[in-house]
Amino acid sequence: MGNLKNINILLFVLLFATLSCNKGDETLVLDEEYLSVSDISRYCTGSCDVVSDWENRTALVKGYIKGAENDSLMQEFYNKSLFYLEDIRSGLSIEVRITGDRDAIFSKLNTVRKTAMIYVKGVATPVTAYDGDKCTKGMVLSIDNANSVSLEKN
Amino acid sequence: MLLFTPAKGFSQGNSDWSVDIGLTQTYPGFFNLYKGSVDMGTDYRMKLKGNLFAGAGFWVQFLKLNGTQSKTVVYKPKLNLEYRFGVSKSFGIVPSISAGYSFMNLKNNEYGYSSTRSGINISPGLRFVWKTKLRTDFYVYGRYDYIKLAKDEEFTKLDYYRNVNLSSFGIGVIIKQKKYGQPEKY
Repeated sequence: MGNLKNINILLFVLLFATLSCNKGDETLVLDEEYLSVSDISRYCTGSCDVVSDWENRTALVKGYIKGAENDSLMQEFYNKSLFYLEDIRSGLSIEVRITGDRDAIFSKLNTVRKTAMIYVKGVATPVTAYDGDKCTKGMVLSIDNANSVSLEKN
Repeated sequence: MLLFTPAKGFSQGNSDWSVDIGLTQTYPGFFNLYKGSVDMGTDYRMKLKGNLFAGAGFWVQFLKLNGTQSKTVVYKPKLNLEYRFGVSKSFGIVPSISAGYSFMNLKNNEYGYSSTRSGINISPGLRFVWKTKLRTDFYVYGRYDYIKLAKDEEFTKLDYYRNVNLSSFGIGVIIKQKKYGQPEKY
């Protein structure tokens, strides 16, 4: 009976320990290896009052072009000079904003199979969003030339 | 260890099976955009002492990312410990705690993607049992699953995504060893 009591206590301590642990401060190196869309979209967030370590840094991101099979959607992306990179595992996506040679970049994107992963090197650019009174910061990945997009890891 | 603690003699109410099915809910984290669908499973319990029971079970949980072909199936073998509180002759409340090791199979056929991740699972639960004179009792339940996925930088570099939180709410049936002619006493 004494052993049982000890095991019960141990189980409840274990439960509380796991439920109460927080994620703490994690650090990602953005330009060392290609990161998933999920990782970078989670990491590159913050308060509008604080300048975060990821802002305006070079970032390497891998993912799939969202809506690549949809020609009219790709045309809309072209018109808006952007496309979205998606993590098909989580469904999360980030905006890739084109600040330079749009024609060359989309020519390259149009050669990509829908199911092929692409690798993008860009700059993690902060953008702000207001939710009521609260201002939060997220990121878009800015690229300016076709060499920023590749089908293989560089 | 609890599972193999022998109970002296198996008479009325010393062991039973249960089967349940419920709807799943996901929470912020890697599976935040998934819509939970079904959680179902079965477990076997036997009396340790008084109203304290221990056992083992196996559950399978299905998650779906809407609008895509991404699916995740969670396999959850667990060891359970529960205590049965009698509210009245016909009703009981049963809090439980389970621990196990879960396997999550992520799949997207459209992209030919398939991957299995695994990690420890801690799962508190609560059942409201309707005790009958028959061989079966019935219950509604709520269960929470916390899964800590093993570290794997190919999957994620963030600890945040290694914490998977799921819950399910549903109904179940307890199958007793035999018909005892009166509701089980606890």
